[in-house]
Amino acid sequence: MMIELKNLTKIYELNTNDKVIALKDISLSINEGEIVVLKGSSGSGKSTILSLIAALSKPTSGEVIVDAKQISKLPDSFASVYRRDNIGFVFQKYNLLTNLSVEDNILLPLIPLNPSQLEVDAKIDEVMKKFEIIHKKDTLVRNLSGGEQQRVAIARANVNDPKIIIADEPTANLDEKLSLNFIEILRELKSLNKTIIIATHDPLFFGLDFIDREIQIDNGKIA
Amino acid sequence: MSSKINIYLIKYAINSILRQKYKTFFIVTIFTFLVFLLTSIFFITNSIRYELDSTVDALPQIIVQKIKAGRHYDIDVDKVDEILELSGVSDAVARVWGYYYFENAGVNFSVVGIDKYENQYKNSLQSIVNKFDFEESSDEPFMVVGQGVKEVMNSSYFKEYFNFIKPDGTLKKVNIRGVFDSDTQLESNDMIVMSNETIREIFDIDETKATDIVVKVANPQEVSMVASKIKLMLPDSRIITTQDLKISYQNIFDYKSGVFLALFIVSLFTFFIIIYDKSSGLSSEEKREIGILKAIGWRVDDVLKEKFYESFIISFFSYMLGSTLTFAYVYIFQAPVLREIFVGYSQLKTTFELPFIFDLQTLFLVFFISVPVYVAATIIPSWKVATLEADEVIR
Amino acid sequence: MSKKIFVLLFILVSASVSVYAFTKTASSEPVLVQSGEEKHWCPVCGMNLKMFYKTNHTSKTEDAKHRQYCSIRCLVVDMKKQNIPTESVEVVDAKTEKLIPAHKAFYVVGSKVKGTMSKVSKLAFASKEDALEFIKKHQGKLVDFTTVLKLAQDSLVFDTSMIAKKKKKKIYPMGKKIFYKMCDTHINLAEYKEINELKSALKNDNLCRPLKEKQLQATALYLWEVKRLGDLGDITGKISVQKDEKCPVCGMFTYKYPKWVAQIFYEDAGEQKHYSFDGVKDLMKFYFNPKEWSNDKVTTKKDISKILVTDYYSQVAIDATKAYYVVGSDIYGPMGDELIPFIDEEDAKTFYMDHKGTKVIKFKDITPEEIYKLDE
Ligand SMILES: Nc1ncnc2c1ncn2[C@@H]1O[C@H](COP(=O)(O)OP(=O)(O)O)[C@@H](O)[C@H]1O
Ligand SMILES: [Mg+2]
Repeated sequence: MMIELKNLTKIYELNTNDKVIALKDISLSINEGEIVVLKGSSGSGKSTILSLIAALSKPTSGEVIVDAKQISKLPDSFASVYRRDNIGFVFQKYNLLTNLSVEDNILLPLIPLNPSQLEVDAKIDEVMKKFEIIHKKDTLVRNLSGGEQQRVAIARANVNDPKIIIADEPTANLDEKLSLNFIEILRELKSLNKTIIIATHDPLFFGLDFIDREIQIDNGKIA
Repeated sequence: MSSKINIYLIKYAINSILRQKYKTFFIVTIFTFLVFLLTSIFFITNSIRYELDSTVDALPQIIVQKIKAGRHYDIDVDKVDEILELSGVSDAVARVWGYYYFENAGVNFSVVGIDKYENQYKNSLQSIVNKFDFEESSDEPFMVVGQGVKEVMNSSYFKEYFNFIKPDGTLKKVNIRGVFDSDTQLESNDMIVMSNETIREIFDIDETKATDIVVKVANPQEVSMVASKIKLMLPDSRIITTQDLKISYQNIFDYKSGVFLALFIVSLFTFFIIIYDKSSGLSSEEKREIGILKAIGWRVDDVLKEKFYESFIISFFSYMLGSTLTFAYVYIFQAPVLREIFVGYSQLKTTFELPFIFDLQTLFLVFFISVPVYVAATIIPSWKVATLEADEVIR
Repeated sequence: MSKKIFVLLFILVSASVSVYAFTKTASSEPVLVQSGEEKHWCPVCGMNLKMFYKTNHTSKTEDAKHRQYCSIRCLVVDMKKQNIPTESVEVVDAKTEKLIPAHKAFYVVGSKVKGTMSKVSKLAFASKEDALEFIKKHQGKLVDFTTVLKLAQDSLVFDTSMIAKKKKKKIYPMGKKIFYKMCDTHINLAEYKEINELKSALKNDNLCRPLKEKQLQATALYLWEVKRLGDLGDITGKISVQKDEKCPVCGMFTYKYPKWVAQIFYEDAGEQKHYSFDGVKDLMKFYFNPKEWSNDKVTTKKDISKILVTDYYSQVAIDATKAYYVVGSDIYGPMGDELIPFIDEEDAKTFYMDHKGTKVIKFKDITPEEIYKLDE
C-alpha cells in the first residue's frame, strides 16, 4: 500500500492570534511493505504526520493519498472505516480502556464489523498468542505493566490484520530490555509485509538492518 | 452491512453500565424513584377516580329528602306513590337507613334497611339479597354485615349476634347471618344490611316514615325534568341527583389532586435537572473513551448505537423496576403515605380499597416522558463529542 | 313562667300531632257484611277493609248479596258491572264507625286526609255537627251522597290511571317476586270469582307461606290483574342490537344509541330477521319506501312482520303501531329532530307539555311529508 504526502501543512489555531505551525509543506512517499522511522526532537511534528496518515485529523492544506485515495478529504465516518480496515495504530499512551480486560480491549476494533463469535475468538486468540499476552487475557489492563500494556496495544492494532502499522514513540515508556523486545516484534511484522511507520527519538531504532528508511523531521520539515 | 443485532455492541453497553457501578447505581435509583412516584400518582388518582365514578354511578339517580328547619327529616312513605305517578319514573323506593354508633369500638356502622321484594336501588344490595336468603323463617331478626363490621364486632366478642341499643335504652338482638364482600368497594366495609322492619325498630322509625326516597328514571335524559317535577310536588324536599353528587365528589377530588399535581411537577422538575446536568457535558473520561473508539475505527453511528443501548437498557430497566414497584405499592400495599393525601376522600368513605386498573395509558405516558428523554440526554452530548476530530479528543 | 310556656308548647304540639293522627283504620273490630273468609277484603280491589274502614261502603245487589268496598271508588266500579240499587248503599260513619245509609250521610270531600284509591278523600258522618267539626280540623267541603257519587264517577278514569301507574311500576313486579318465591305456583286462578276470594285462598288454604298484608295484596294483585290475563301487561324488555348492526338509512351503528333504537322485522325463508334503526325517523323513512334502503326481501310494507320502537320514558320495546308519537319537541335523537314514541297516551301528552312538542300523533297518521319535514 502506497502512502503519499503532498505539500502537507498543518496549522493549529489556538486562538485568533496565536497559532502553531506544526508541519510546513511536507511531501513524502512510503512504499508498500516499507518500514520507515520518523525521527526528530520532541515537538518537531512527527505525531502530527502519523495522525494525518491515520485520518485522525485533517491537514490545513495538502493531500494524504493512500492507495490512490484522498484520505485527507474523507468525511468523518468514511475516515473511521478507513482506519478500521487499514490502520493499526499503537499510540504513545497506548489509549487502552484500562477498566476492560485484555481480551475486551483487543475485541474493540472488531465490534463495528458485527462479526461472528467464531471469527472473533479466532482472531483475538491469534493476536494474543502472537504478541504473547494470552496468559493475561482476563486481566484488567490497568493491572498490567507498561510492557504488557504495549503488547495489548500492539495486539489491538493487529487484530483487524491492517496493511499499515503506525507506532508513536513505542519505546518511550519501556526499559531497554522491553524496547529491544519491541524491535523484535517489528522485525516480525516487517516479515508479514506490512507497511510500518514509527515515530521516535529513541536512538535504539537508528541504523537497524531491517529499517528501510530513516527520515529526520525538524520544525515541521523534512531535513 | 448485516442488519442483525450486534451482540458485541450490546455486550459492550452492558459491560460499560456494570463498570460504572457508582454512576449506574445513582441513575437507577433516581430514575426508578421518579418513575415510581409518577406512576404511583397516576395510578392512585386513576383508581380513586374509577372508584368515585363507580360509586356515583351505582348511586340512585335521584334522592328525595324532606327538609324541615334546614335539616334532613324523615319523609312520608306515601310520597312514593305520588312520585310513581310521574311520567318517566320507573321506580321509587322509600329507604330506611342511618348510622349506628358502636360506643365500645368508637366506630359508626351504616345500617341500611331493605325490602327483599322491592326492586333494589343498588346492584350491590340486589346481590346481597340474592346471596343471603332474606327470608324471615323464624322470628329472630338478622343482618348481613360488611367485612369491616364483622371484624369490629368480632373483637368485641359479638360473633353470632349483635345487641343494638334502641333509643329507649332497651336492647335489640340481631343475628349475624353472613358477611358480604362486594367486588367494588361500594361503601360496603362499614355497612350492615337488614330488613326494613328490624331497622325501624332499632332506630324507632314509624312505618309511615322513611329516611329518604330514591327514584329511578329509565331514561337518563329525563332525570332533571323528573327532579324539577318532584321539587314542585314536594316543595319541602331537597332533591339530589347523581349529577349534583358527581360534582361535589369531583370538587373534593380536584382539590386533592392539586397536591398530586404539585408532587408531579416536582418530580418532573428533578428529572429534568438531572437531564440538564447530563446533557451539559461528558466527563473527560467519557470523552476519552469516545475518542479512542473512534481512533480504532468506530464510526459515529457505532458510538451512538452503543450509547443508545447503554442509556436505553439503564432507563428501561429503571422504568420497569419503578412501575413494578408501583404496582406492588399501590395495589398490594394500598399506597401507604401517598394515599393519605386523600384523607378528604376517606372521610367521605371511611374505608376503601384502590381497585386494580391496568392503566396502560399512564404506563405509556410515563414511559414517553422518561425513557426517550433520558436516551436523548445521553446521546446528544455523546454525538457532540463523537463528531469532533478524534485526534483532539485523545491527545 | 317557663313552666307555663312549656305546658302551652306541649298542648300545641299534641294538638298538631292529633291533626296527623287521623287514621282510616278501624279502632275496634269492624263490621264486615260479606260472608266467608273473603269478607276481610274488598271484592273489587282486594284491599283490606279494616285498614280503610272509615271509607268503607257496603251494598246489597239485586240478588241480595252483601258487598263491602274499601271506598266509594270501588263501589262505583262495581256499579258499572252489576245492578246495585243506590238506596242499598251504606257507609261507615267516620266518627262512630257504624254503618249508616249513604243517602242520609253528610260527606266531607277534599279534606287533608288522604283519599282511598283516589286523590280526593270522601268521608261520611251521620251527624252534620260531626262533619262540620271534622272540617274545622281537616278542612274540606260538606256535600251529599248524590254529589259524592257523581264526583267519584267523574274522577274514576283519572283515579284508575293513577293507581295503574303505581301498580305497574311497583306492585306487580313485587307481587310477581313474592308469588314465585313464597307461593304454590300451580294455583288455578279460574277457580276464583273475585279477588277477595283469591286472597282468602292464598292466606287460608296454604297456597302461600305466611305473608304480611302488604305482600299478600301485592301477590293477589299480580295474580288477579296480570297473571290471570296471561301476563300481557308485563314489560317485555329492551330492544337488543348487535355491535355490528348499522342503520340502513343513515349508516350509523345503532348500538351506540340504545335510547333511540327501533327495529323492523321480516321473514326470510321462515327465519325472523330484522333491520335496526337509530330512531323512529329513519325507521319511518324505511317503512314508507323499503325498496330504497333494503335488500330484496323487504320491498313493500306487506313484507314487514313487526315494528318495535323504544318507549322514551320506560326505555322498553313497544309495538310501534300502537304507540303515540310526539313531534317537534326540544329533545333530539342522534339524527336531530325526532318522533318520540310512547305506549301510553298520557305519557305522550305529558312529554308534549314538558318538552314543547307541536303535536301528538298515532302511527297510522304519520306521513312521509311529516318525516322529511323533520330534516329541514
Ligand atoms: N492539538 C494541538 N494543538 C496545538 N498545538 C499542537 C497540537 N498538537 C501538536 N501541537 C503542536 O504541534 C507541534 C508538533 O507537535 P507533534 O507533532 O506532537 O511533535 P512530536 O510528535 O514530534 O513531538 C508542537 O509544537 C506541538 O506543540
Ligand atoms: Mg509526538
